[in-house]
Formats: sequence, structure tokens, C-alpha cells
Amino acid sequence: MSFFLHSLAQGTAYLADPLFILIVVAGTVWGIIGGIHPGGSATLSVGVALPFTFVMNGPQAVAFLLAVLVGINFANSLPSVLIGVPGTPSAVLTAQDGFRLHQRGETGTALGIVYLSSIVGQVISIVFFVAFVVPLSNLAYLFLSPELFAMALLGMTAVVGLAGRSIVKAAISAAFGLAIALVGLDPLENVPRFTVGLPDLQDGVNSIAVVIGLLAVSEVIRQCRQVYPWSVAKIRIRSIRFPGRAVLRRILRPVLLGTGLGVVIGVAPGASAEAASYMAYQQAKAMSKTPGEFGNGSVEGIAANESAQQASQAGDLIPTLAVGIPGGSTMVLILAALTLHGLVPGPLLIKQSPDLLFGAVGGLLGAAVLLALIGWMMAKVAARLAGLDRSVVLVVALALTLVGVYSVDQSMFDVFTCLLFGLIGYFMLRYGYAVAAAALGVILGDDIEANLRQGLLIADGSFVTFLSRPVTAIVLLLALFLLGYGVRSEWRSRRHAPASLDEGLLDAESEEVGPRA
Amino acid sequence: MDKRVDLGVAVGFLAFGVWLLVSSYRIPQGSVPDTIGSGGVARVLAVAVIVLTAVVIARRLIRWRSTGVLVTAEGSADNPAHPASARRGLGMFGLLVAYAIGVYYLGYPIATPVFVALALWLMGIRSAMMLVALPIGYTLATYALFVGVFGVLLPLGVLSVWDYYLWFHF
Repeated sequence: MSFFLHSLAQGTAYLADPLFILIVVAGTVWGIIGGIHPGGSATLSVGVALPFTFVMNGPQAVAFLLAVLVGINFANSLPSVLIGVPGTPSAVLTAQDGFRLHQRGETGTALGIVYLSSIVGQVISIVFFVAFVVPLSNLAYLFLSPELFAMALLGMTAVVGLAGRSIVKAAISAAFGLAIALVGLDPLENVPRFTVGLPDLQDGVNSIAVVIGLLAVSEVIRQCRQVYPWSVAKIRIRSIRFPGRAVLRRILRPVLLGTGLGVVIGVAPGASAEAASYMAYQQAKAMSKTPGEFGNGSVEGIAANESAQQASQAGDLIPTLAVGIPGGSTMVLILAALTLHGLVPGPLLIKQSPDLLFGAVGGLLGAAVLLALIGWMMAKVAARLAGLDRSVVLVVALALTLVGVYSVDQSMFDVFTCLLFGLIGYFMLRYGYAVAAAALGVILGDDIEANLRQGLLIADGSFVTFLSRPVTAIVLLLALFLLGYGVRSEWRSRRHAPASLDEGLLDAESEEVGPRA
Repeated sequence: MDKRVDLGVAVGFLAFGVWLLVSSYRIPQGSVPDTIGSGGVARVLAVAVIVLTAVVIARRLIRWRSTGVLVTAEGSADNPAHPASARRGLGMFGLLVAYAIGVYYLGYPIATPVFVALALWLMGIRSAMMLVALPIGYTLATYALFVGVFGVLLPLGVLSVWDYYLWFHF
């Protein structure tokens, strides 16, 4: 209990530091600008921002990236309301109800609910975040090399098992990422491996360059396949009014419901903000006195959806920081930022570097306060920001990413590495290979190998002794279960999936292909 | 998605797996050998990649004749409301590689505005104002931020003779 209160107090204390406040402000504003564009993914915004953390320390870097995420989660719902196009998949239901309200001339009501639900969801989820992380980090004394190996493997299988359409391709991606992490000096025997004669690879590949290439550059190249404007109708900002008390009373229950569900669902490895928002929306509909309004401009629906989105981020952060198991690609980028500062993701992270937890709390809290101060104004000017040219945003994002990657170690080799993995990531993205699994493999690969081999040394080289440790066995069983679940899900979906284009999803390929009927 | 490219990507991963396996046997012996050794984990991963890509290739080949060239998308699909061009995407990648080489030889201040202008042109922007003002403005702003504020020594290439001034050492 004392560490719980201490963490909250220390996190709040960070907000007395002007530099820390500046970093949080920069992160939140960056997130809002990144999230406000339809289709501008959270991964891209965080990926472009990540190299900039090289000028910060660990807690500042975590706070900055979390502030970016808070800004994105808030802003991605603004285009949903104003133009009916969600910024990210988790804002789809907001688009459904919010845009209907906007069409009815109730833009202020829709934006006001997005604003309030985001802030309330964010603030409450911070308390949940600390409440879950602290006891989990206290279990760190249970972890020696075999357990650390098992936990890292669980993180990999969670990303692979819950990857989506093809578990086989996700497993290939994970193995590819892990193999890339092996390049460089062997951690135990100190001999060079897989360096293909390049002196720059003696110390291994720069994991930041690889991760940004796989997650961010690949995504921008993919988006460059299409040229189209983000058309935004002109809106009279002065006519937008904040919602009245009656509306605020109606959204109280769905906001609390969405926050609770968001945290709980976010904790589950691989569960996304999308899942949290959909479930919160359905539950709010089931509990509503006016379920008929859902899908047709429901204030309760928007409230549940928005609060769940924000809260799921804090939930997602719990396994990421407490045990090193990220829920998705944005959390993989957070782990990558930690490695940039010499920190090792895993169960010992918070125990060895409690400052990170305080930084995370400070970042989340600071971003929530900032949203409370400028969020309403940003919501009103969103229409103008969303009117930025999509092509310009993509080109600037690419150029910024490369200069950011160069800045980490001032190395052109890292830039070329980033580009190579950007191209590989592009093909992986397009053809169903899980780039997040590959990126996580790159980050965890070193530790998985080192802990496996050190664990075997502890167990006198015996795999049986290694597996007979209770925590290791339980965690490995859980990993096996997740993998089995993924195989079963894919087998089921393949039984019902159409094989050819005639029956299935259309996809533009190789040349200019027009809109489909 | 194009099933031929899907097959090509799988073959690429298969080749990587084979290379990994072969290379794992060429690692020099360390002084303190352990149970698995330097190449043990790599061998497990290589075998996994080879077996799993073989599954992907077999799946694709078994259905080869019964499906058209374009099959159900397994990855991130394009926005169906707008035309898409793989050439533009890959053209942008080519431009990025040229930019990186340009930064090395010509320097950041010269290569960056050229890259931004060409990339905007590739993305369909034809406004002279945007093709001139934005690249110059972007280059000046990022140069000031990274060199002036963050202290990063951005590559100067042919401009290295003026490094004292361009890296703000005066």
C-alpha cells in the first residue's frame, strides 16, 4: 500500500519539473496532431516520435511516449465525429454515433463527450495501473534466468497467438525477429555471429533502427500506395457548445463502465483498445434505458467507447512494464525506447528502475491534465488540423523518422538498416506477417537466449530440471495454451474463409486500381 | 493480394532460414562452451522458419490452380475507396534510399530539400509553392532543431569544409 501511494506521489512530483512538463506537453500535442488524421495510426505517430527520446532519460522517455499515446487516443475520435472517418479502428463506434450527432447539429455534444470521457477514463485508469503494477513487480524476487526466459517466451507467444489471420506467418515473423537479435557477439562465449563480414554488425544490429523500420517506415510506405485527400467540411467553431448537465448525468455510468472494462481488457496480453471499446459499447447498450439510440447518435455509446479506449492504454501498460509482455505494436515501441536507455524489459524492470513507474504515472497524469486544459479547444479546432494535406504528412513523417534514427547514434549505417527493415516490413504488412511479433523478437531476442543458456547452466544443462521449476512450468504452459488458442482460432477461421478474390476481400495490387463497386 | 508475391515473400523467408542454418555451423568455437552453444538457438529458429515457410508455400501451391492471381488479403489492405499503386509505394522506398545516399555524399542541407520536393511530387503535389517553400522550410526547421537544440552533428557531405559554421561551433 505504501509503495502504491509512494508511486502516485512520486509520479505527481515529476510534474513540478518544468522540463518534464515541457516533454509531456510536447508528447500530448504531437499525439493530438498525429491522431487527428484519419488513418494515421498510433504505431506511426509513436514510431516517428521514438528516436527523439535519445535526448531524454528513461522516465522522461516513457512519459513522453505515453503522453503521445494519450494525445492519439483522444484525437483519433475527433475525425470520427467531424467527418465520420475513424482515426483508428477503436474509434469506429464513435464514428457511428458521433457523426450522426454532428449531422443533427449536435457537434458540441459529441465533442464534449469525447473530451470528458477521455479525461475521466484516463485519470481513473492511472489509479488502476499503479494498483496492478505494484503487486506484480513485487513478485520479481521469484524470477531467475529460467523464469525470465519463460516470461519472455510468453510475451512472444502472446503476440504470435493473438496476431490475427495467420498464426503460421506470425510465428515465422517472431522467429525472424529473434534471429535478427542474435546478430553480433554471443552473450556467453563472446564470439561474433551472423555479421556477414560487416564491422558495423560486431555489436549487433541497432534494435531501434530495426523496430522503427519494421513498424513505422513500412507503414508509411504502405500508405504512400494511395493518394487521396482528407476532406473536411468547414465548421463554424463558434457554434460548437459544451453539452449540458442532463447529458453529463447520462454519461456518468457508461464512462465508469468503459473505464473498468478498458483496464481489465487492456491487461490481457494481445487484447487491444479495439476489443475494449467494442465490449464497453455492447455492455453500455445492454444496460441502457434507450438501447435503440445506439448506432444512431447515442451519447452513452460514445462515452463508453471513449473511456474504454483511454483506459485500455493504461491496462495495456500493466503487463508491458510489470512483466515485459506488450499488448501490441505501440507497447513494443515503448519497450524499444527502454532498450535505448540501457534498460532491460522484463519482470525485474520496475524493481530495478522504479523511476520508470513514477515517470509513467507522471506522463499519464500530466497528459490528462493537459487534455483537461486544452482538449476542448483542440476538439474545436480539430477540423482545421485534420484538413492538413495527407501527402505532406506522410512525406514529413518519413523524413523525420530517418533523421530521428540517425540522431540516436549519429550513424548512417543505422539509417540504411532502418530502410532495409522498412522494405521487409512493408512486404510483411502487405502479406499478413506480424511485424509486431518480429519487432518484439528483435527486442527480447538477446534476453531470451541469454536467460535460456544461463538457466541451463543453473540446471547443470538439464532441460528437465529447468522445466521442473514451478513458476517456469506454469508460465510455459500458459505460453503453450496461448499458442494452442491461436492455432484453433486460425483453423476455425480458415474453415469459413473464402480463398479467392471472387468471394473474399478485394485488395488493390501492383497497378492503379480504381474504387471497387 | 497477389498470390505470386505472397509466394515470393515466403520463398524469401525460406532462403533466410537456410542461410541462418548454414551460418550457425560456421560460428567459431568459444572458450567456455555451454549446453546449447553459440549456434543452438539459431538452429532451432532456422528449422522453425524453414518448416513454417514450407507450410505456407505448400498451402499456396495446393490451391494454386483453383484460385485467381488475386486472392483474399491476409495483410493490411488498401482503402477500398481509392486507387492504389505498388509502384508509388516502392518508388518512395527508392527515393528514400537515394536520399540516404545523398545525405552521406551531398550532406543533409542539400539532400533534404531535394528529397522532400521529389517525394511530394511523387505523391501528386504539383503546387510550385508547396514544392519549393515546404522543402526549404522543413530543412531549415529540422536542421536548427537537431543541430542547434539537440546537438546532433548531421552529415554535411560536400559541405564539410564549412563544418565549423554549419555545426554552430562558432
